[in-house]
Amino acid sequence: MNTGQYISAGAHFGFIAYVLLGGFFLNPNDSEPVQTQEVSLISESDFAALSRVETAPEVPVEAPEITAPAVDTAALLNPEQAPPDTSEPVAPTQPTLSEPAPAPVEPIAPPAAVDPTPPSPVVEPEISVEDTGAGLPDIPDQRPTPRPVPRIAPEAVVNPERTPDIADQVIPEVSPDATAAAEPVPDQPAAAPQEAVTEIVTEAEKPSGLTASPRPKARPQAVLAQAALKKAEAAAQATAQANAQATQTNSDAAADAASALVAESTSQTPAAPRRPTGPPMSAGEKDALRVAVQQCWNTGSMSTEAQRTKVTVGVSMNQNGTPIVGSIKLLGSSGGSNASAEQAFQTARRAIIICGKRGFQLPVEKFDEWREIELSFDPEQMRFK
Amino acid sequence: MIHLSAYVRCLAATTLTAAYMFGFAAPLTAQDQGPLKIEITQGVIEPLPVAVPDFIAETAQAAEFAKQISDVIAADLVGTGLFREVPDSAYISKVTSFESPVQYADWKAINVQGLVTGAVSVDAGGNLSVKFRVFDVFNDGQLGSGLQLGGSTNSWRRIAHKVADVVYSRITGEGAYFDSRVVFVSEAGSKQAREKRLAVMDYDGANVQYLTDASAIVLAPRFSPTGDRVLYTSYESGFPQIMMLDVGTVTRRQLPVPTESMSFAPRFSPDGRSVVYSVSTGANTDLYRMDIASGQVARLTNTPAIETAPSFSPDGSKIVFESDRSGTQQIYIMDAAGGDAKRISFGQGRYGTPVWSPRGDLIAFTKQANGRFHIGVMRTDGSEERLLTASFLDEGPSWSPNGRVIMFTRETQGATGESALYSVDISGRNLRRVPTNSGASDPAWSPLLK
Repeated sequence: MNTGQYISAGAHFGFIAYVLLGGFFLNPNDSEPVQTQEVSLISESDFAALSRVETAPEVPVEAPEITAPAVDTAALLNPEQAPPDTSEPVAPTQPTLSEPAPAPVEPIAPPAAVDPTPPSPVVEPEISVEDTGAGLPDIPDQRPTPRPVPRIAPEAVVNPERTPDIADQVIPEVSPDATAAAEPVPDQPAAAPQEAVTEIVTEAEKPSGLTASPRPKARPQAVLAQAALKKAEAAAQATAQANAQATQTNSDAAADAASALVAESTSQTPAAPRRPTGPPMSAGEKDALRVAVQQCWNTGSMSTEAQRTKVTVGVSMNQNGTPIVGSIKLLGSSGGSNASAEQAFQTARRAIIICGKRGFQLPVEKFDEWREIELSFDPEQMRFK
Repeated sequence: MIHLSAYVRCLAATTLTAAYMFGFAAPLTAQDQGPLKIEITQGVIEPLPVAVPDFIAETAQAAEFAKQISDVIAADLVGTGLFREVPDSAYISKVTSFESPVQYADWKAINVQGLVTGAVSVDAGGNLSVKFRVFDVFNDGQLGSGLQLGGSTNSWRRIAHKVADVVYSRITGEGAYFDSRVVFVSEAGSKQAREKRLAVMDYDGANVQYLTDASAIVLAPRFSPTGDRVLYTSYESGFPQIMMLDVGTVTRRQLPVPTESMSFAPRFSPDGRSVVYSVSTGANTDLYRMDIASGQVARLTNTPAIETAPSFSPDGSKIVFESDRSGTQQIYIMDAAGGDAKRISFGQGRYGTPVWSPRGDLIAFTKQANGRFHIGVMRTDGSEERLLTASFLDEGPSWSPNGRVIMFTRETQGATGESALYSVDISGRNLRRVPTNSGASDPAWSPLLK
């Protein structure tokens, strides 16, 4: 029954392969085309004239005579007998560097009336402080109670436009009714919850909303989820159609493939929604981040050993460019002890927190690029500044 | 061969096409590329902002000490050049109780990164007690546990220095040096008739006390490793002789060196049991080592040149000294038992008065070049030479107990020139004059007091 279909499929595939790849078989030899160059004939008299010019006598130029530089071979052979450096006198000049030379001793009056003990009573240095060393218990609860701050929520509300959880409500059921009920609305400004930030931003500080990049914004998550749903729905319909056709046997390969496709689409779509991937971070954008961090990386108070310790610090970022303070962690260190690594880490941590509290200037459309950042702090060049 | 190559290419193209058509080759996403990696090699060197609110006076008698102790702690920290004190006028929240929780947000708002709180009390017996805590504001936590120090009210400055030592060590990770003393030569009078006395003071110039009178010239005092004795050179007999003074009892005795020779430039070994010094006979000066208990002497050098200014390495295995055996004054290193010496200074000019760092990694020295004097440091192999100062006359470096600061003598030019003590960080920053009530020279830093 399927013989005709097989023949037809084979013929079509062969035709497509011929169109796409025919060049490989028809022209297997990649021989370069023969290059031609036009020439012209010249007469015997022209050739003789050219020959005369080339064989014209050249004006002889004498090369300057190379003379060997005068070398004091005696000095080279006997460096110890070379004349001493006269730039500075051998004899010490006053004032001398060393302890006072005993030669120029000042005349000392005979110690006739000198009391061997100092005239005034010498106060014995007070060094009798007792360090009790009693360790104090830590304050039971050093953490202060959060102070109420109006207009600032304790946690920033995540922008729903970026929330990838929309598909969770609709994927388990692939019926048309369920998908219709869960079909997201791309633009719902009125339904969005009141947005809160972690700091007060005055009107003057608000960004204009314009971006410097001419690239279009990435597609919102809702649209991507909708596309995934349509893909799953089409796969389900293919499955139903395949099942209807497979009435005689259960080993229909097409049905298995369709089922696999459905399983793939339903399992991948909600678990790993595709994030808006923008263009990669440019060198200038990375430099801007580097400069911003190093403005707060204060190595002045680091110990000498910590100034030889390189640390790598990992940090997760919020979408507004501020670091998630709790995520800052030491990933690795080299060149010092654990104590110096801890001190170098704390210095780096302060740099990230202090300079990042207002948010680093990072392109929002490339959030996926800088969602996680690894910063290597190498103080080698700072030691001699 | 050519046909085979074409076939392979065809197969590869077909495979890639099929893979793309069936979606097997997913495009790389940013998440697949891992975190963004940035390397920071440049930073800033600025004093760290710290706040030292006045300590809480828990008793009426402690009121006069609370603010003084806070001021000394703040002065110690700021004096290092590594810290900057945030004035109390900028405070948002006041510390009213030692046990009250710290409002980190308030301190962060004014960019305070280190916070020191404490309380002072005086009991009926006149015993002073100081308890304190150190906070890392941007870490929202305490740096180490709280400590309590006690002593008499007369020793309130030492207690304050000890508190500052703990704060300094916990924040910087560096060893401490505030609770230490400096012995030096106090000078008075003109250059032609200058009186010199041995004196000792706190590292910051306070509590000056004289150890000798002005009847004889004294030079080059050196503390013992435990800080209880001082070696110096005295001209009491008209001849330079080495004396050893007990700081606690202010008694002294002469080292048993033959009186017909001139001995000078003494320095203790790290274990305090022996002394290395120079002896000059005729035009020759060599290094000797004496066991203090037995008086046994060993000669370390035997050259016609002048060898002087010896200094032990911290482990006592090596001695660095200056010698003009090469024709100019240079720095050499040899074994503590003597023997061959290796020259380590090769720069332009003359090098002298080398002193080994307590850490053992650096050697401080005086350098004279192009008519100017410098205090510098170099590694023990002579590499990485760095000049920290430059003036008409700088000389005689001495290391702080933690090996981070160098104190030295600076003398101004002219007939009215005066000697003064200066200190500088080994990075070359924070050059400052140590306050003394008269001229001063030849400083020698004590170890950290117990």
